Amino acid sequence: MNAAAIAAEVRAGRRQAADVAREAIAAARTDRFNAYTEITEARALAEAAAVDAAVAAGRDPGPLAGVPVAVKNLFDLEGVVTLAGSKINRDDPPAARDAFLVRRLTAAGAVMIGALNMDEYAYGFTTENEHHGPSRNPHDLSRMAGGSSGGSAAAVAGGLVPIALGSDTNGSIRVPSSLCGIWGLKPTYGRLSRQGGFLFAASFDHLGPFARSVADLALAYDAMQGEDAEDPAQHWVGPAPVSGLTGIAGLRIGIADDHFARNGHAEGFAAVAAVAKALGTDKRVTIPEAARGRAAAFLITMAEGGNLHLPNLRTRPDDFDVATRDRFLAGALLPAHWVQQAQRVRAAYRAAAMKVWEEVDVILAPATPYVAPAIGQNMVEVDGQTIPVRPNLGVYTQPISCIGWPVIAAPIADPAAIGAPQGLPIGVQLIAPPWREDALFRVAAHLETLGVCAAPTPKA
Amino acid sequence: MPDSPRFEPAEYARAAAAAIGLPLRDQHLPGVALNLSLAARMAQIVEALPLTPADEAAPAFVAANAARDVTSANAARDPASANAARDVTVAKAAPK
Repeated sequence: MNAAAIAAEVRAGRRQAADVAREAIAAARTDRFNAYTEITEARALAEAAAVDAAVAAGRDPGPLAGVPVAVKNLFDLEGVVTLAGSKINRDDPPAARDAFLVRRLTAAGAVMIGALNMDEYAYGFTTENEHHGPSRNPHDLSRMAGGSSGGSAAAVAGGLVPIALGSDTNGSIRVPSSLCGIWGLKPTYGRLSRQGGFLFAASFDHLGPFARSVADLALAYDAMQGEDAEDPAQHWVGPAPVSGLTGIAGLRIGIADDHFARNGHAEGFAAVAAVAKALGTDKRVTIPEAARGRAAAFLITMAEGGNLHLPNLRTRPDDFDVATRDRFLAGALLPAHWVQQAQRVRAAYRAAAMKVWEEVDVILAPATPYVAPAIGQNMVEVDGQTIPVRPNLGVYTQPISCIGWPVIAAPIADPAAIGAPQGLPIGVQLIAPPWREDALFRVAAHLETLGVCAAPTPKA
Repeated sequence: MPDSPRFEPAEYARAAAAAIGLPLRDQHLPGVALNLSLAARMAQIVEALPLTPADEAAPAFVAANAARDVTSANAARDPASANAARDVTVAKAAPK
């Protein structure tokens, strides 16, 4: 059941939040996707009881009344150790309070079921976590869920919760959304507070929601908007609710070419073509210097991550996941010139890229270059070359988060119809100018109404 | 311009690690060198964009986060100033 329906039932007193919570806890306990790393049962039951008490007393329990939610395990949950996918953080004390976005969700009536698996310290696109095991794609358990918010995407796609939260530094919400076939939102950089999130590369880190419907994505996003003086990167521009927005009248929509029309397999481009056709556009636009922006993001991410983890890299490097350790070590060693030049190129790229918004209001681009690879797969053939499969998963997402533009990852409703291998899910990035999440939600709702985009139901 | 010297990632890694007090273990060196080689390729892509002295880095230092931080500082002294400052901030920052 989706979040909006649960909240409506609970608010009307037709369903007890406690029953919904018990079902979600039972689903978490039988999780076949290795999505959960922690189940916060006592907390969930207490929160559900509070919602039921509010309903019984005639008080407003909030727009997310009784909705079960779960979060990537880099979000602080009071009383729980914030693992951020690591073994090292197991030595940390439990969080003293919830992250800002968690506080917003629970204040709106949501019920916290637990914490979800991820790539160690968010440095990956696959959630093949060495310490906790790989999260599995609900559409094919032998395949990757994507990452780094893989547990979040698997939990939502697999029906364990209707809403989950993740983080996106270079594509970590959009990549698993695409591979698991659900909706994901990476808002404008600075829109939502990141307080209480274990950061990775602060100048690119975004937090955002996953859901199986546009209405649920909007419900979660609207509940989380709020000013927070504790996040130095937040640029508060006031609330801008998106629930109920629909219709694309007046929106100029373009298709990204150049970098976004190569580097991938046929299904990535077929997904974009299907969405473009439904929206009645064949206008092509170029986001200039996107490949260079990706290179800049690659270097800055490496350097910021390496610097952040240097104390542990010095004293206990073998406690890192082997998949992230050598990248963090190398990142700590980058010449200052490479990183500073990357920061200057990032600004020049932003200035050049912003001009594209003179031509269009929304841009379509592939979300991932291919459907979910098998867990453990190392290489893939793209454009006649055999390349490492994992870093290339972010080839289309990284240039966009580099300059902070908002994106909704929209799942293709019928992947088999567009020729996706084995009918596996694949998504499309809907991209807007900074602070124009409203345009994204209008296009997303329209695509859902047309039946072109929707979260496909896992077969098994 | 004379040919630039060849980048030797393993050699560089050892020297740079010493500079920042990072004990680099032998078994980690191949992976570190591989990642430095990849970073060097990314750096070449970045380097190829001509920049002028006017091209500043993306992060811009902010002395105070708009009026928000000033607002908190003033609020203790003069509660009336808090609202005024916040309203100015929101008006300036509102998207078109």
